Amino acid sequence: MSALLEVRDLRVETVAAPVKELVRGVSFDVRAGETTCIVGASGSGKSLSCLSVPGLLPQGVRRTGGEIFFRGERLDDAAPEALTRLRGSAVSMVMQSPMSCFDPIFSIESHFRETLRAHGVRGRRAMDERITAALAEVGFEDDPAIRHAYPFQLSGGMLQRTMLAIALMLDPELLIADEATSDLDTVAQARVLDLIDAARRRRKMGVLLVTHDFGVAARMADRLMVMDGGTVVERGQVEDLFADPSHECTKALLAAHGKLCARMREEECAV
Amino acid sequence: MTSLISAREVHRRYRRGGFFRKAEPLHVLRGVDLEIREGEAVGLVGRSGCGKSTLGRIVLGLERPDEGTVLYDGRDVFAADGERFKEYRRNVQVVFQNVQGAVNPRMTAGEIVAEPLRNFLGLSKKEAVERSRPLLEQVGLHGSDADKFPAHFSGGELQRVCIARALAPEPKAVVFDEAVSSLDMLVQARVLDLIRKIRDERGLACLFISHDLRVVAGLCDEVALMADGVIAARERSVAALAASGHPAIKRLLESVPPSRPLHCRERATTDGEPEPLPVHVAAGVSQAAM
Repeated sequence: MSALLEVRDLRVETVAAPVKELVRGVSFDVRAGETTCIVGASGSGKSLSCLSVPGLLPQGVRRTGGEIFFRGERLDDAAPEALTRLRGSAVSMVMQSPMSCFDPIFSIESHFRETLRAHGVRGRRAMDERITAALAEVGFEDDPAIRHAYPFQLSGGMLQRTMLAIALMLDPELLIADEATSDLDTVAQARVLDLIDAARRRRKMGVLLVTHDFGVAARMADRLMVMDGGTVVERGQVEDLFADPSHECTKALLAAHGKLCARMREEECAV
Repeated sequence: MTSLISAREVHRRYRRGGFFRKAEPLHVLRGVDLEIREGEAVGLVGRSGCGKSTLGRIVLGLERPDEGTVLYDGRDVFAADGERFKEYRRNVQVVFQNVQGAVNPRMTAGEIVAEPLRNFLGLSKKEAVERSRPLLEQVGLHGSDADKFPAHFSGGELQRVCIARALAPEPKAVVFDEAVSSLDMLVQARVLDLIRKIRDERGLACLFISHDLRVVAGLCDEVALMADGVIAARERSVAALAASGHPAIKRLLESVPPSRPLHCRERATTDGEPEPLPVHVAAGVSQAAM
């Protein structure tokens, strides 16, 4: 079975001198219907690795090597227009900070319309149908008020669900979530993670999830890869990695995670 | 242990609406009582937006309560004159979540840590910066780091600078407002160890505000649960809080990410990419699934 997304020997470096290689030969796959998690400390190159996929690297860094295949087709040398068509429809993203991803002077509904227009959906009724369905998918079916609300009127958790609704609206085959729940409290985080997982099962969608929290990886991942210093230091099925980590970096991260959880267990917090 | 800080029946409302329209004020704190005894670490847990940080800011004297008051050493903080209020501000310090926003990027780490020393102890800038070096060493940095600017520190290192700054005027209490939430796990673990060490060495009283029960568990002598603008429960540990059965603590507990991978996950078995669901079908499925 070929993977939905294949990334081979990806390299990213800074544009300005002194040139610093930030991602050094990273390869990974995401299969349809599965969740691949990238975990690692801050600055290990996990975000750059996944931002490279839809061609959304920030200014100041550039991709210098590697191949990216989506559904078997090369993405890395695709025309900008082809990438634009893909982004938001077949490949969509949920980012970390919901407050800075929405434009405060536009209503929630116009954010949906913008995405639909960009992908050639025309007509008020067609748009309304899609927006209603998308909002329903993230649990806002009984809440028409949300369409006319402005981003600053919603909580971080609600905004993140809204961002997920926009990302899922055009039925993506691949969802990239870059620390999508790191800014939320644990209750809102659990809700958003559940919604992502439900959408994955419903659509047989591939999910690429970046997180620094091994607890989030434990909840979501099928496959796990651990990054450090711009390289993948270890990868495998999530159960195997948790049970038998071999690289020092994985061990250190798991130890920190274990310690955090152990304090909960010591106190025997039965739900 | 005697009571160091105690909030009594604290109410806080925020005005809503713009220039042209008034809306119902937001009643965030609805009669909060919270006591922090000398050398005691109190955890304050609750969901985002429940008023934890507002209470923290009131305890710090950064905001005035609309009703109720805060007592420090048995005396009303907000009725205090300038000198006594300054003394209070010196004795209760804070470490915030947003480390980049909590420091001036144009000041060196030494100057940052020196600021409270100059404000509260009246030291000269040179003296204060020299005094900052051992403080930076105490939080696991080097004395020579005093000459570096915030941009040259990682998030975790910068949070250590902020902790050093909070400790500089030798306070009786420190408020940690989500102080480790924006750090990655390894760094978080180290900063938590540092906080625990400092607490034990100095006998500091702490108010540790967090939405993550994992962070608060095992760090605090008492844990208070905030919900609907009041302290809904207060117990000796997260476990005791869990046993109280309050719906808010149940939700927080259920949402804590698991320590081990979930085993009952269903795995995808299909080859290739299935047809995307038509939008009206997707809506039907999702409504049934919610």
